[in-house]
Amino acid sequence: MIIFRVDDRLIHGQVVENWLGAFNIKHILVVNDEVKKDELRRNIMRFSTPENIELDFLDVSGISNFTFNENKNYIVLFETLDDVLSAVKSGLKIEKLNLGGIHYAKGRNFSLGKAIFLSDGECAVLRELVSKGIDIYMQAIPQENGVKVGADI
Amino acid sequence: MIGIIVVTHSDFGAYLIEASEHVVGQKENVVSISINARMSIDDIKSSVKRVTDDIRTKCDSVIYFVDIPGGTPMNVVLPFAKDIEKSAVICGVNMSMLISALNLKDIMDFDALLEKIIIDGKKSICEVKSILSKKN
Repeated sequence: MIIFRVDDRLIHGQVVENWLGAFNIKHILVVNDEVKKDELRRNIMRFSTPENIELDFLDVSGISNFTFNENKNYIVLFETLDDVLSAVKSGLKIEKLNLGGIHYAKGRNFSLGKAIFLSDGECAVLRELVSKGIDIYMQAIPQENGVKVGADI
Repeated sequence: MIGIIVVTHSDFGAYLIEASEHVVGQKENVVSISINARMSIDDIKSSVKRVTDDIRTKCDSVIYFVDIPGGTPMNVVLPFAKDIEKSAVICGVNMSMLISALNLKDIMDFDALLEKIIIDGKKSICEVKSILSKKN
């Protein structure tokens, strides 16, 4: 099983203390061009990840070539919807996409709940992802009910 | 079932629960008691008694978390804990240990949970910069 998640905090408490255990996840993939190049951020994320969990850092362009082991559960973390779209365009197959956290920033004037804020451009990206048949749902933590996001946003 | 009661100076415990539930979601049988300077010792005792009695209608065991060893929360809670066979009073509550407690209280047995809480709480106290520099 693979959970694809957009979370601008990437590895943090909700992921480490909750998603990993709730879905018996053994491998985290952080898909982010900046983190791939930033040793300090990579070290911090390694520090935050429990020792028995595998952790890899990939370029957005590299994730579509990653070979997933069918017998293992993964969580794949993206920082932005733009990165998800780029990955999908370079061949990544995603059936379901979890929106975990896209926090408020200037220009993100469209709110989909307390942890998801989108700019006009990001709404367009979201619609494009929906049009590709990806089932998109908002859910910060497993104990919350997922809320489906449709093309009508 | 294991109930959790966090007793602290001021609203520290209430906010600690709020912060922890942001990470692990809301849990049943988790309560805080805020102690402030306007309360008499009898007020505090009766709050602890009321909350303890209520939790015990649902839980056979109780873990009290308090802030500092020797503080009023600890002193008030101890006599109540003495009367509950399966109970514990854990000092120095921090967010890591509370997260472990909330995550695991419904799936671990009492003694194992206590041990895990203490390990996770202690493990979370560290100077990260030096740890990261050692890894390189």
